Amino acid sequence: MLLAAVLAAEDVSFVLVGGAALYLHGQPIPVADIDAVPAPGASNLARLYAALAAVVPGGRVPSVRSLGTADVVSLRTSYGRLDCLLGRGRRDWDRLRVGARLVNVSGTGVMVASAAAVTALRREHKGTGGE
Amino acid sequence: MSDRSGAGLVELAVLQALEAVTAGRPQANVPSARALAEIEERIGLGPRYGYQVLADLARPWMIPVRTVSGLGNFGDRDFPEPSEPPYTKCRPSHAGQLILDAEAGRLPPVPVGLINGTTYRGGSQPPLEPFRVLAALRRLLDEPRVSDADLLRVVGLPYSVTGCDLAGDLDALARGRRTAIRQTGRISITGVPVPDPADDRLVPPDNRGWTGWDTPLPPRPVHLMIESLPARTTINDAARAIAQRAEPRRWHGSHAQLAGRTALPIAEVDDRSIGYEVRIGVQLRPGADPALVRDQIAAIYGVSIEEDWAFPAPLASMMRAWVDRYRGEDLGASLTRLEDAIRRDRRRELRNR
Repeated sequence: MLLAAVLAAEDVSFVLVGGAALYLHGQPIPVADIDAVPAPGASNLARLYAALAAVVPGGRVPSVRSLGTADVVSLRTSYGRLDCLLGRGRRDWDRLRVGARLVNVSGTGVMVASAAAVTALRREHKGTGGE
Repeated sequence: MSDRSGAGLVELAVLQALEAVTAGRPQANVPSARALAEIEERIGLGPRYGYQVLADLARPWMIPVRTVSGLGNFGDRDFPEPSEPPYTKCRPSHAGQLILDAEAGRLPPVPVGLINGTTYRGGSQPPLEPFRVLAALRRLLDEPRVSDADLLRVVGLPYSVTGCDLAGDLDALARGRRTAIRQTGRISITGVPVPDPADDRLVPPDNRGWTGWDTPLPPRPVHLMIESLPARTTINDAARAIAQRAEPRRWHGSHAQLAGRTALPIAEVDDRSIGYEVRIGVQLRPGADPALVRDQIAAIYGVSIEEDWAFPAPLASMMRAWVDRYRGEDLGASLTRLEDAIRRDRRRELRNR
């Protein structure tokens, strides 16, 4: 969960989805990784790139251009595994923002998608066999 | 999974290819490029994929019982990439040769698959300590009615090839349940005193730096020593991940609580590793608490990883099934030969380092 707070502290605009979001909504489920839907837009992707370069050992991070076209980027950071659902952000950013709320994680506000939106995304994900 | 050794099918095909190209001369090493061509010829596994399998089977930090003996650079914990296939050589290890003999019916079965598990190739069956498995199987041969609890005491519970600490519901794992197991690198506190912040202020920042050619540099104090890492974490990645946490970020002032949990008071990360032995020294900043920083480093992903592990059946039942299945053959002899082979392979490994 610290990873989500670190990304927020680095001024990356994103909405947390997946198991971590449900955990922050109070559901007692194990959190194996962080699923983040970043806001589309070149400046946010540039901040995302800089933030990732600081938490991925060796700084092996896709370029800003790749982040702008990739659907999902999975990375191993020093805080744990991160799935950036970039395609979802390009398609559904405005919808996911509706109902999202700020949750305090170690003194830092993390934007978390609504439980209904997270559940719908998970159902959709399972139905299609992937993002 | 092959029947009489528990080796994976690809692994067995690799060994059979090696046996073919060494032409029955078990001590002969052949260029890996030649072995890879034979593997492709036999099962269509291309050289790039085949080399990954071959290298993993030769790496002592990946599996407890190596089935391939490698000569040349098959990588190390710092830089796992092996040299190109023309520049390395290989042959079946002594244990690998026993697998070949067991599969061909020339010897009774050997429990290499039970010992090695499948996690080294991305599966979920954990490895076990080889000599404890052999002792447990001997106990079963001698005393078929030995209780499961006694058997599990002998075999121990799972085993980290790289010497990491394991945490999780190990009893549930032994009962055959899928279980989240955390592997954490071993980090020791060296006992070297961490300077007091007041001492650090004695030399003003303006006066620090180059002190002249003739002044010998004192050895850097190391307050924490990382002595093991999970198998797929390279030393370089772990050292960088730790060093990254010591770098100041512009948000540290505005997010003090988060900074307190993530920023590490580390002055220097010093890689002193040699070959397969992990030794990453950490020098703390004045005033830092070694125990607290040790726990923070242990939580860094890579230094610590969590994976779901599972035996296909309760562990005691797996061992009983193996012994019952082959009780008609001279299992005692095969266990002795395997023990001898593992020791010989390890001696060879030490000589080659």
